[in-house]
Amino acid sequence: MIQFEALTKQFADGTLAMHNINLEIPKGQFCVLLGPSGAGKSTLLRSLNGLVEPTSGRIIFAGRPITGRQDLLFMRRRVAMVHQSFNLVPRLTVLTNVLCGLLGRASLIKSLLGVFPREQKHNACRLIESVGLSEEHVYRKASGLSGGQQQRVGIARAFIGDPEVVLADEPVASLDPRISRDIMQLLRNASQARNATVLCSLHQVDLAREFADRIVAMKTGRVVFDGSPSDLTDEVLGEIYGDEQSGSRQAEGASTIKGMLGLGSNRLGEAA
Amino acid sequence: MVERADTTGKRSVSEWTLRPEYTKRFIAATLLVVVLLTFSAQRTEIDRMMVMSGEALLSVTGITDESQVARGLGRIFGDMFPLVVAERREVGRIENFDPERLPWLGRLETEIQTLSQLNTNTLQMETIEVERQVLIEPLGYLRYVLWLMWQTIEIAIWGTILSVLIAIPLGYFGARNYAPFALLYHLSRTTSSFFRAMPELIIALFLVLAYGFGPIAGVLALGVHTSGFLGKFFAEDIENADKGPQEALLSTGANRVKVLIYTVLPQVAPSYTGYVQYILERNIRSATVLGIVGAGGIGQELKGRFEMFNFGHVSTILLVILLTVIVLEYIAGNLRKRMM
Ligand SMILES: Nc1ncnc2c1ncn2[C@@H]1O[C@H](COP(=O)(O)OP(=O)(O)OP(=O)(O)O)[C@@H](O)[C@H]1O
Ligand SMILES: [Mg+2]
Repeated sequence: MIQFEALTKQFADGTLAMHNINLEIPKGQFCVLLGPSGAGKSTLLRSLNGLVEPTSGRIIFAGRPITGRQDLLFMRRRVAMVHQSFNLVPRLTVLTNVLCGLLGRASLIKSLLGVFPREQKHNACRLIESVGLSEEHVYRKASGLSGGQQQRVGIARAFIGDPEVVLADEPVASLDPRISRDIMQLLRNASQARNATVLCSLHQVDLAREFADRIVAMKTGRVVFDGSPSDLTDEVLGEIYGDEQSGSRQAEGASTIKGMLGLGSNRLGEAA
Repeated sequence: MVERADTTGKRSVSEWTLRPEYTKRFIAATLLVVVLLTFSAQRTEIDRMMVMSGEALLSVTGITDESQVARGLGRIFGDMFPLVVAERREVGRIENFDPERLPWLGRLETEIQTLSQLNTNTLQMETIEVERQVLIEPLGYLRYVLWLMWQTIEIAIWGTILSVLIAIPLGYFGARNYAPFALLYHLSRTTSSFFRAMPELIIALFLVLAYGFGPIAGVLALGVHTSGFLGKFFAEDIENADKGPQEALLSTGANRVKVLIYTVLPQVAPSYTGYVQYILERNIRSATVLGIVGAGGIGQELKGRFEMFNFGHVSTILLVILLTVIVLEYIAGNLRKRMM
């Protein structure tokens, strides 16, 4: 389904966010990306919908090398994304937010007028129900939902266009553990029902072990582990997260205090 | 306070350097400003203004009796009352006049006018008395002024509509993240600031030459000038809108226009409404003045009456303008409260 061939991304400031990535992800696989902060997980995901343009190497999507604008559009229409901070439009209703997932295909005139066909609206409602929301939410503004509910809408928006690939960049980073599991479950069920490929970055190793068909770990822009969840031993984990992981575990108490003082780095804040 | 022994190698309190209240630079700068202002005061006749105003004050209090300013203002204020609200027109000059169908509150009066005339037979000047009919509408002039005021508001409304229409492309292309290429961005921003910098009175002056006297010049002048403000505000709000939702939609393959409509517009809608409302308010105020250069509306009548020294009419016009502005402020204030 997706092939990365020697994909490399160097940002204008010299940061090497991806270095010679070679991966092949078959259709229908639930692939989790692990790795410490700054490893390049987001960069890899964003290269799949054109938000990041690789410096060298190429992506082959559904057998088609992605090189020009037309290829990019071809890929974008088949790839959907679930975002860490949900990225819903706060002042639009839940229904409109979900329908926004179809804007890539809607005609310009119709979308200018804000009209969507009845059938699409019914589809959207079915999705809204399947992600665990109900009729009362349909015309509520997205800003009036809890974080967990917003991510449900985010998932509905991703799936409305019947994507072949769903990218999820830390979809549960700002949710509590119980809701996180629900959301991951939702993501897996929805993708299994459609045989969609999922590429999901996570910071929670336990969730990765539970939901992934395959785990790819990155560190400083390189793939350092690629295997099934059972291959992901504590030893391997230590290697992936280096001293940082054990260090941060030991220093958990300290990091909480640092966080309270506003000294903690973003990563420590997330881990805490 | 007890002075502590110096243990850290720092100086004792009595040795601390204290700064003077006024530095030399401050004094020099002040002197420079005073000198420059003195020169400029002569050029702008500030001295003469003070002398004349002083005279006026003295003459008002009765100490002296000669003052140009007091005389001028006195004459104008004297003529401003009573307000003229009625309209008198000679029937013979009204086209298609039908005495059976008088306008609202209208009545006919016969007045006798004495004229001096040269008698062609005797070749001598003589006075004759002519009888003529005049139509009197007691509130006729007030009605006319109110109608002009409404026309002025219409000019402002159309000026605002035009302004929004011009500002939409200026805002879109003036947003760095939406302009298709840099040249268009710079062009839009420059156009915006150029429009802002051109006073509307001067734009109107030129447009009156092109389109003739009347509302066209007023509408265009207001639209062009204020689109410079709206274009800038629109563009800045687009640039500052939350990027997350925009990326989310962009990555589904939606083009920029769709992304703008579905993510940016809902975000900026409240502030855009506020800007447009403010522009409409200020356009109504400006439209009353624009007529002075012939761009239609109530200002044109005001200027005409002023030049004919009809200060009774002038005061009616001023009163109507004043009341309109007060009512508008009230309405706008209420609207704002309701929107919040
Ligand atoms: N727009 C950018 N310009 C310059 N450097 C960037 C940019 N975006 C990301 N980077 C850098 O690229 C590297 C990889 O970033 P990336 O966001 O992919 O990491 P990540 O694995 O997603 O981290 P996290 O777990 O914190 O989200 C980092 O060093 C980051 O600072
Ligand atoms: Mg990331």
